[in-house]
Amino acid sequence: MTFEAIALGIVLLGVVLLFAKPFGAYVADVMEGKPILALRLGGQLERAIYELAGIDAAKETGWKQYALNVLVFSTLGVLFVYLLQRVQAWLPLNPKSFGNVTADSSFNTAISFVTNTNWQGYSGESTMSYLTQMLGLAVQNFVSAATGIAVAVALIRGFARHASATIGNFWVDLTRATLYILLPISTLLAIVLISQGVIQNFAANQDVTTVSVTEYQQPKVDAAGAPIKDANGAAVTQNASTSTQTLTMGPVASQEAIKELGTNGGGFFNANSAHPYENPNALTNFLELFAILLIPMALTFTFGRIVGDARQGWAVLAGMTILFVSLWLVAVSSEQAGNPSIAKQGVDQQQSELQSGGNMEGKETRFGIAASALFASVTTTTSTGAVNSMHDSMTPLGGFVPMFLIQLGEVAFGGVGSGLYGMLIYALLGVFIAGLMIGRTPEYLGKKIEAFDMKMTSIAILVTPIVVLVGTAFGVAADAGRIGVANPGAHGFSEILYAFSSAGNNNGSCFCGLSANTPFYNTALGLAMWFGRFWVLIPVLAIAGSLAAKKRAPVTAGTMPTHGPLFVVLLIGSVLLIGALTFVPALALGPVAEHLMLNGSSP
Amino acid sequence: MPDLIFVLLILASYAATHLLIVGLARLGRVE
Repeated sequence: MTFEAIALGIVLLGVVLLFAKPFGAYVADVMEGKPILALRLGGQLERAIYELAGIDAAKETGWKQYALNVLVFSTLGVLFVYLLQRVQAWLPLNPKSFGNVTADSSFNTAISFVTNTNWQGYSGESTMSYLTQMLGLAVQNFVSAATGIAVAVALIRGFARHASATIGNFWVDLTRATLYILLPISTLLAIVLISQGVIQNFAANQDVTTVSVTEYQQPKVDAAGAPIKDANGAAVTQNASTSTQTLTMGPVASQEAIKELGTNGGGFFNANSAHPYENPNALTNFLELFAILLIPMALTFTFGRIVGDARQGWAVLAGMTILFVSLWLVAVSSEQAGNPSIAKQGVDQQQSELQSGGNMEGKETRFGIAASALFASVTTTTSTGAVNSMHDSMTPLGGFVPMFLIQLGEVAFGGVGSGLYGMLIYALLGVFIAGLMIGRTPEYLGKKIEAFDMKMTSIAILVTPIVVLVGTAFGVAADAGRIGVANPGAHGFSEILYAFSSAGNNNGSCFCGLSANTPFYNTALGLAMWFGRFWVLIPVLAIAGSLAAKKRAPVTAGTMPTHGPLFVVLLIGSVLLIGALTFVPALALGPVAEHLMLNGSSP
Repeated sequence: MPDLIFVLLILASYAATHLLIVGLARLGRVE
């Protein structure tokens, strides 16, 4: 591990923390409708939206209606994005003349973007028209993130209110989160990204002359276009050269900003943030990392502010930070240590002025080990799923970290909204376990945690592992699942396990050795994303409704404080306990087995 | 034909989730 790697992570967390505190307070004021400047400036537009949509902004609902509104809105979103892809060939803003997307890929992508997953079975630059990218995918980047914020705030209201039958108005929460939180900072970030070289245009592909002629081998074909093979059945190749390169254009910056800020992760290009038009340099890389962490971290301050005790937010943030830092250090040290098989062959993998050292396979030289391992950890500790390096090429332990961070439920710092409500669910579990230990009815923030709340907590925690493990079992057992695996053995198992972990937890990154743009994976992962999102989100809203209806119990000498180190340890313990018990057996068959095989192998 | 299958799959996912909401709401009232 190098000084630069540690410094980069610490500076990043420090800078985000600096902005997250005031931004969290701003988010709280916006979502609570306080008369702040932003709401006064946008009030007219906001009211016009409500009038146009026929919404009574003053009318709040109980959790059931809130959940139904989320569900109806999301389902309509899926149907719209599905339809848009299926007819894009006949619609405008398609300068590359792409055809309609296949039915199974459209299904997968529609659910993927509505659920804030942004798993991409397709290759953006060769599949999606600009209209589909902007009207379908980018719009969902905004509203899926806004839905996450809305649900998290609804849960916070559940803690903050007492004897209340309502938890808010979903349409108002959705509108405010989009209008006052996501749109302004996305616009600002997009402009900064453009200044650094991220492209933003509607041009078709550009053919440019390269600086030098590139020579390569290409298969020789017969008159019918079939490849010619030699006596051994191997393809016959011939020399070829080219002095032109095709550059893909498009409205990238506008999508890139919300991709990171909304913890969406769906890239305009297949290579995602490893592509120079999405992430050109070290500064944009840092800004993208900053953008990913800003809202999830800020929401812990929002939580503290709305419940009226900032220390509660700090405690949750401390738990998140310790979890993240511990696993990020494993990733960066594993990647910097490099590949032992290559080391045995005498290859220099040490960092020096001339090279990053370590395992540079699948990484961009402009980012190196430190920024790549940090990005891999940040993108999977949140529900982003954007990548600036290929996770499939990481060392077994380095690849274990992103996978385990996803499997922990992306609660440190988590997705926009989903990270906070995920962590608060673990907080309820933690106080429940503590209550069992001392024989008291568990309480959190003055609310007694009773049987119904724990049933909902159990559903919210268990749905995702079921989706992931059952899905992986199907993937491994079915011919259609195994055929997509590029690397047989433990690594191949990791590719399938990672895919279902990513889909079930709404992350969207991939161990990209898996060919997942097949009817089997498009359908199975589509369903995993749907149930991984809504079957967690709905019990969370049920808890919000249940808590809001309760009276606040007075603090007594027997009340367990939930703002101190003991609670932080309890919180981390709950997350690790569930994560380890659920996923370690599966991880042992994948990255752990691969690590042992790699380190035990002969040169 | 594939469109019909996938649209039905979306609607089935919606229906299953709607039932979850109704079921949890009923459970909440019972408790």
